[in-house]
Amino acid sequence: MSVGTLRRTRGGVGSSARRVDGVPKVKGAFQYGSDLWAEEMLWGQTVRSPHAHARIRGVDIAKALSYPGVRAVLLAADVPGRKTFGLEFADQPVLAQDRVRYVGEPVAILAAVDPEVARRAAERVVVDYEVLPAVTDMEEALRPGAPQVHEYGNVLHHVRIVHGDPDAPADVWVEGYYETAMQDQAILGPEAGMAVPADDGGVDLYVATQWLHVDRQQVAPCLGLPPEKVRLHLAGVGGAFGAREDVSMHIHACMLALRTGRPVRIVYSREESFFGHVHRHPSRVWMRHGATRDGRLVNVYARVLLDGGAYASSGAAVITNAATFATGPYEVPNALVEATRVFTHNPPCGAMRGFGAPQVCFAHEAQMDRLAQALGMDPARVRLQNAMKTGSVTITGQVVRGSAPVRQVIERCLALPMPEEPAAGPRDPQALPGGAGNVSRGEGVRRGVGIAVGYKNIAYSGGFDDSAEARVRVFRTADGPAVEVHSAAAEVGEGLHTVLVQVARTELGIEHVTLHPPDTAIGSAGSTSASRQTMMSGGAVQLACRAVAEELFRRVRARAASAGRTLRGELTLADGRVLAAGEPVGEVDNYLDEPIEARRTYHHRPTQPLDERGQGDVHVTLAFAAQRAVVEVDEELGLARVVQLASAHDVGRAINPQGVEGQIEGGAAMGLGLALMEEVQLDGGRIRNASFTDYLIPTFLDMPPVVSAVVEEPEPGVPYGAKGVGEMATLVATPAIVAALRAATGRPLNRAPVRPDDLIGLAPPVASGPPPPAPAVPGPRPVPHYHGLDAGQQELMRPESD
Amino acid sequence: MIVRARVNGEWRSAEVWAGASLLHLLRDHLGLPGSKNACEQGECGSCSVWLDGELVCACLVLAAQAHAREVRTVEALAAGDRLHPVQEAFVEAGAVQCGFCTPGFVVAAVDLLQRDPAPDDATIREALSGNLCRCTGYAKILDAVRLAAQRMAGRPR
Amino acid sequence: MIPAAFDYAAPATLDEALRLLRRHRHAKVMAGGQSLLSLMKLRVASPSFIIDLRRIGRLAYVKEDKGAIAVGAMTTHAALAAAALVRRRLPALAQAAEAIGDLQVRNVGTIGGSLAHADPAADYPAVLLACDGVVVVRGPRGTRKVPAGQWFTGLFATALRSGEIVVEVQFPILPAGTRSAYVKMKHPASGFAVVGAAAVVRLGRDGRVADVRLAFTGAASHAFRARAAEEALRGQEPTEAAVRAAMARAPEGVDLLEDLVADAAYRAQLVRVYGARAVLAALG
Repeated sequence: MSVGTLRRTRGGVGSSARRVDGVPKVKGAFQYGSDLWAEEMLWGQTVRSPHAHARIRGVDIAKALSYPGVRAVLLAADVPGRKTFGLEFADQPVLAQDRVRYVGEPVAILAAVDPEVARRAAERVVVDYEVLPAVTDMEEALRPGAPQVHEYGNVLHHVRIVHGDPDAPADVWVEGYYETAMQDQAILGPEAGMAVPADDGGVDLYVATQWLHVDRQQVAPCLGLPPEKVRLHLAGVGGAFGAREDVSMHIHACMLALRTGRPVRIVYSREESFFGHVHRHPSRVWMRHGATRDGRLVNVYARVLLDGGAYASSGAAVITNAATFATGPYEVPNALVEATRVFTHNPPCGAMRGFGAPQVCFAHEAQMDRLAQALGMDPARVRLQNAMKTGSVTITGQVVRGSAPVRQVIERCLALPMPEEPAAGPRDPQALPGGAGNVSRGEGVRRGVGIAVGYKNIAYSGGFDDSAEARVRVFRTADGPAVEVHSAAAEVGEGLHTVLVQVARTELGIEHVTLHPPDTAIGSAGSTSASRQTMMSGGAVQLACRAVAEELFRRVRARAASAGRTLRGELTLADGRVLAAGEPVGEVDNYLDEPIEARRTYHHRPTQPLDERGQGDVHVTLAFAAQRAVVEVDEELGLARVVQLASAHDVGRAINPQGVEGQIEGGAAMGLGLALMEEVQLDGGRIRNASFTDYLIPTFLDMPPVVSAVVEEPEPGVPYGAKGVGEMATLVATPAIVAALRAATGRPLNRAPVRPDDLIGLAPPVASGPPPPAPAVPGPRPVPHYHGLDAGQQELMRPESD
Repeated sequence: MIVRARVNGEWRSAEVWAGASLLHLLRDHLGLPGSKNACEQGECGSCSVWLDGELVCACLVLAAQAHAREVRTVEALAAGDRLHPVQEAFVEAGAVQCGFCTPGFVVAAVDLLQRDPAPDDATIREALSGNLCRCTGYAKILDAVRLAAQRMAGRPR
Repeated sequence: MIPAAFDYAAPATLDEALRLLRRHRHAKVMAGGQSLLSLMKLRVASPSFIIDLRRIGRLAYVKEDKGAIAVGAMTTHAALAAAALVRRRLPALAQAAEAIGDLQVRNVGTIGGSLAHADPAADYPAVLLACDGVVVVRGPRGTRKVPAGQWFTGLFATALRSGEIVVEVQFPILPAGTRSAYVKMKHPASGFAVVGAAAVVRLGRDGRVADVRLAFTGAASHAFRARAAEEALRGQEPTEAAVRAAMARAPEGVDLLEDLVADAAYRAQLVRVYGARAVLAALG
């Protein structure tokens, strides 16, 4: 449908409609996973490994079991069904059996009548470990003789992309090495949920998650139950950002509930939350860019390592993303990319906002600046000159069919107003690096400006049909016609549920739209990740609404015909009325003696997996963003303050402009965090900073004003032409800020986050050896595939029988 | 031990263990889960409540410390369907995303506007720097507090 | 969650608190509890008995008394930061109180609690040392006064003896012409001082530095006076260059802390820079 034919209904598509969950949230009445409560409820607790790698010789639960108030203590042997789970590969034990592979791995679970009792009982579970040598460095893990994390070795997936002639000569070469740290999603609402045993021998699980159906697909086999006996319901989600893609407490709570016959709630503490979900993969990236003397990219080499920690999670998809986006949103005729996702005995890594793109964006944008410097060119000009556009061919040989306004986002970003230069004379310390309590009057404070451009896929890639289902029902109420939308799509804070309501309002011309609580009673909506739900579940609701409208129009025509009238022109809906050729025919209410209901599934266009040479039409659609950062650095203290972030985003079409701004601002904050402060610090696989005291996230004082612009060039073939906007700001903010820091200090800064020591030269740039050779792997698919470990995610998308 | 406190205008009592925090008392004994538990160390402000009119982190106060005192929580701000102007402004300005930090922010913002009805941006940032938000990047929260201040300036307090 | 294995009492008088303290040898005295409860949650502290001082009246005050600013031990940071007397006569103390944590902590935490706890990164210790303050304690044998220089004895360790409670802190009022300042790098989350510096400076008739006292917190196991830097500065013209040159000696002989935020080399740099900024701020 083209944008021009959208009908206007209050709170519809294109308006900054109020959030549907806004009022309960400001009142404190919104029920999150950690707020769940049931009569006779027990509190679950997890016993975790203190070792990065150890053999379990035995577990003594007698003392814990006899502790007053304890109702159950369960071990690996008590897992009723399959002993392992996983998103892409079922490689992760529900409870460790004979071996632990990371610090924090669950070994035992228990349920007790009170949280303090549960905690104390957990201290009484005695595990006899034989500590084994651990490998906690990603390059170390690739060396011969390194301790093996899995029987099939230390490589999850190696992606090799050969594009054009990787030996093509160039006039100018620049080379660099870059690192990014392990980042935590730092979801404010910890992992939480409650399992309630049901009379049919099944279980109802209320849980904060990003994808109910993929959870159920992992939970049910482990419980030894058919899927229909495991019913999942979405509890309020306190942020996600990738942290809730993997199963955390789900299976544990269900096991305890089924064993005790009582509801069991598990809520992770903040410390436990750092072990309870996957993190952003730390990266090491070697890059070489070759260009002509006039600044046209000729050839790029990239060697990418991602440390995935102990288990697969979604790591194979993350490394595929990192590989395919390694050269940035530029036309690159020749390239060689070697990207490896490694296993170590570190905590597992998987999805986090940006999903492999931020790590390589940090590197390729630093390289573009280096190239500009080597050529004596303006950094923006080098980028503009090489910018991708519709019709460009990516390094995987994919022709960019959709909108690709790369030039436009760069130009719009640069056109945004710059912050004011500081006035001469003493400055308000509040506005200086270090803030209040610092008394520098602005002397020794240097300003720098940096830019970055990046891109990312929307929806799942590589041949995966991550379809979304929705059911829409229109019925009559005392206050006029109303719509109910049923979708399993998880609202995680981004505003998806408001978007779905906006779509229904626009399609049906009815303002009164409510949402059925998301659950597994309907088919999968796919994950609330990969910036995909506006397109996918928005598309499903649109299709279902159109089916409803079709039936409504059939009734309208039938009634007109029975009254001997013929309706001329196209039938449409607006403000609760049916119109023919723009003229009112009657109230929708009049046609709802029987409610109308329709269920539809939306599929995006098919894609392909990469072949042996890393070639294929792999991504559904692409979104682009450019960011400019202005920073100030106190040269004595190494403290940095971001003065302004300016951001231009390719959104296709803004369904909810206020929501789009919110994603841009919030996403930028997360990218700022990785640029300046956020790092899960590890020591031999142990997290040293598992608290909000020691793991720093940006505060109100750290965040500058964010000025933003949206480029609306509708994406052909998707609902309303809208692209997702959840991730792009995060991936460009980090390189833009670090580029600005380089400009302010003149230092080469090649690791994020940048620390104060780096800014005043107390710490040298991180050094590297030569890139490690490509590992031997059995084929182009992830290694566990060849060992029969596929989790069968695609099975989820088969239509369910009613 | 029995703790008795005047919570949102009503005397309530509960039996808790000596180590229970005020937050645990509110959430798990008095059925007031609006104040959130996100960090347990007083870093995030999600559990901000008033104790005898002073803004505190309920996770860093023992339930016993609240004995015989007055506690006010986010649940007391709206009068039925009528939101407090700060709550109204948070919804309107888009200051709510996942919402987990929202009750703490709303309470801290109300506290700020009680002390300083017309704060400038720097004052707002400083006053709310004890509250963490992971979703919004704080921009819309700043907008919301400004909006609430403007609206409240026109009303008797 | 906080361990439950302790008993709790909130006595109404100081004498009763002292009696309880005598009876329960492993009791811990709690003022605002902002540090104690944190440590108990982390299981770093696990007292068997808590004596909560909050019900004891008359321990929260700020007054002028015999040439000193006398601050009751239960005075909150927020109250101290707002006290007109302190803001006027001892800006460094007001600056330190204002820079503690966030408002939620300042509303509950107290000066007595902070000094008894002696966190190496707390803010008051630097000011107490630079001002030559006095800590007043009450115990079974009555009241005694401990000079600042003798108060801090190690990591989380003070001259407070078993059975004693901090009741007051005294800061001598600075003579006219003597100026003070406190500056810090605030830990982004906890608000504690990564490094904090308090300076008290008096210029002589000749315009040179006649007297200077400079103390640091956050840098070592406990707060300390930087005597070598003070010595280097005394008699100098109060120029920025002279101040910075003298500060090269500020970290001298100090075993600097290393943690997740700052290693020893970076802390040394912070000591030099914040030392200079404190002196320059005091000079105005």
